[in-house]
Amino acid sequence: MINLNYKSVSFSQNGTNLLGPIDLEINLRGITNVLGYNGAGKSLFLELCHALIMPQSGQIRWDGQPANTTRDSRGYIFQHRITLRRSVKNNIALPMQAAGWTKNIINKRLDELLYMAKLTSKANEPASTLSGGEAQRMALVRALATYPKLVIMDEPTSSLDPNATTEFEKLIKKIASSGVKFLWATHNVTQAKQFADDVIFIASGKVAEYSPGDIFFIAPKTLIAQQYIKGL
Amino acid sequence: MKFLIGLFLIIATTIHANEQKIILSSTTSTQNSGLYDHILPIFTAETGISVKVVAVGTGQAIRIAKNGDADALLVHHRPSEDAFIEEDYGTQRFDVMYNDFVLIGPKTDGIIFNNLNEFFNTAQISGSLNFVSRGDDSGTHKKELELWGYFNNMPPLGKWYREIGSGMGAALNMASATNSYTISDRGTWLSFGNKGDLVIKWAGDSIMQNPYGLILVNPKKFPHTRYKQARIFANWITSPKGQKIIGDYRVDGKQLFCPDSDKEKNNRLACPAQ
Repeated sequence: MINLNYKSVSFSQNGTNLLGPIDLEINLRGITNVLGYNGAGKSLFLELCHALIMPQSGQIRWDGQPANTTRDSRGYIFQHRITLRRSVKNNIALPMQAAGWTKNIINKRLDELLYMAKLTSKANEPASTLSGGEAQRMALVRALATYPKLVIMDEPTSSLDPNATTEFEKLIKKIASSGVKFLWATHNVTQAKQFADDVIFIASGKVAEYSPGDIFFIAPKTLIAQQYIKGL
Repeated sequence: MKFLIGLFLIIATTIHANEQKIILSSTTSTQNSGLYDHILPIFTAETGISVKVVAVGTGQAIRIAKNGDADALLVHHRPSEDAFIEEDYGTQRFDVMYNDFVLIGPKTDGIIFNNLNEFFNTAQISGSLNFVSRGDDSGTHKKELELWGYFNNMPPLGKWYREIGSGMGAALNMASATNSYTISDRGTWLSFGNKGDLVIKWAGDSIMQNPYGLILVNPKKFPHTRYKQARIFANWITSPKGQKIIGDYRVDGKQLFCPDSDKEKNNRLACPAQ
């Protein structure tokens, strides 16, 4: 398990409070889905978790350590595709090169990751030629390259077609079964029902509910979560 | 050139609204050194934000930011940077990295200077040491003028002093072709491929230090700027990881820039240890 601690965290921009105050201490196990209406603050919540942005007040800690000093122990996947202008294998190799790994070790790990993402045959092709689904699988194994304990994902399948989504979901299942934890924002309730060990439900910039997935979808505690699940 | 920069800015501004992209108005020395090619792909992979660099002299880079055509500014002339913030164009300045300026000159003239003062006095009084100045309002040009003022208390005058109104690479090429002296940032000097007979004639004085600062453009003055993304860039480049990646960058095995965001860990006199 990985401990996440939000202590009196608030974030505002141009004088408008966008998130918080949030006080939350949870132990992440398996897959934790972050749900909420558009504009509720899901992306902001994840960006703060990874210390991409820093809160105006409060502290975020992972296993007792400040979020901004532990970025290397996490990977992050974005909604939009991030393909750098280089081959598929060089895209995936980048974090390993940045970490100073030797070529032999990088090549061994590359083989594993390319196989895992079903991209071995495209290793030397420019990443820009990949389909949306392939690009997201590449981004996922790139985020996994240096063995993070947790992967944070911000609606990674929202722009994928159904087949590509299924392929991506299979990859997540495989990775999750190896012990990697996921903190995953999605707007797709059906997807969350299938994957969520736990759910964080965000409404109006606050954590309205944190429950095990099987309880959340059957008996949500808040009215707003009940309406959300019904698609209202 | 100005037309091309203008065209780029129009295109960049057009795509601004929809993409996770920031425009960084920056000095040529960081671009020419290859540093951005080293660090920016890593930043993009980790944060989902791509960075378009507009590389011009410090003076021009500041003017671009003052027009609201950039989201952040990375330059190396502290007085201009402080003025930028005081005039409310920027919200905050971050120490990012530093290297130093070096006096470059022809090895074959056999002259050894005992200190910088000796060089600047000799050049001015004798008129026999040719000097190439960038003359382009860049951070390096501003520093060079500061050095003439500091050591000689007057601007350089004479046929021996040539202002070329161009970048560091062009100035070094001109110095190489004419056996002249010039002032260069160490990063560009190390990555310069046409050294010819030129060598470092003097380096290491504290007055030659060259700190680079990152400033976020004020979103209250320019609401269309991507302040949040620029802030993420600032957080990342000054984080332990961003700083390590800057410190690890090498050209021909030599370190070009020293991390500068953690004042407790850094000792400016010990880096770069070339």
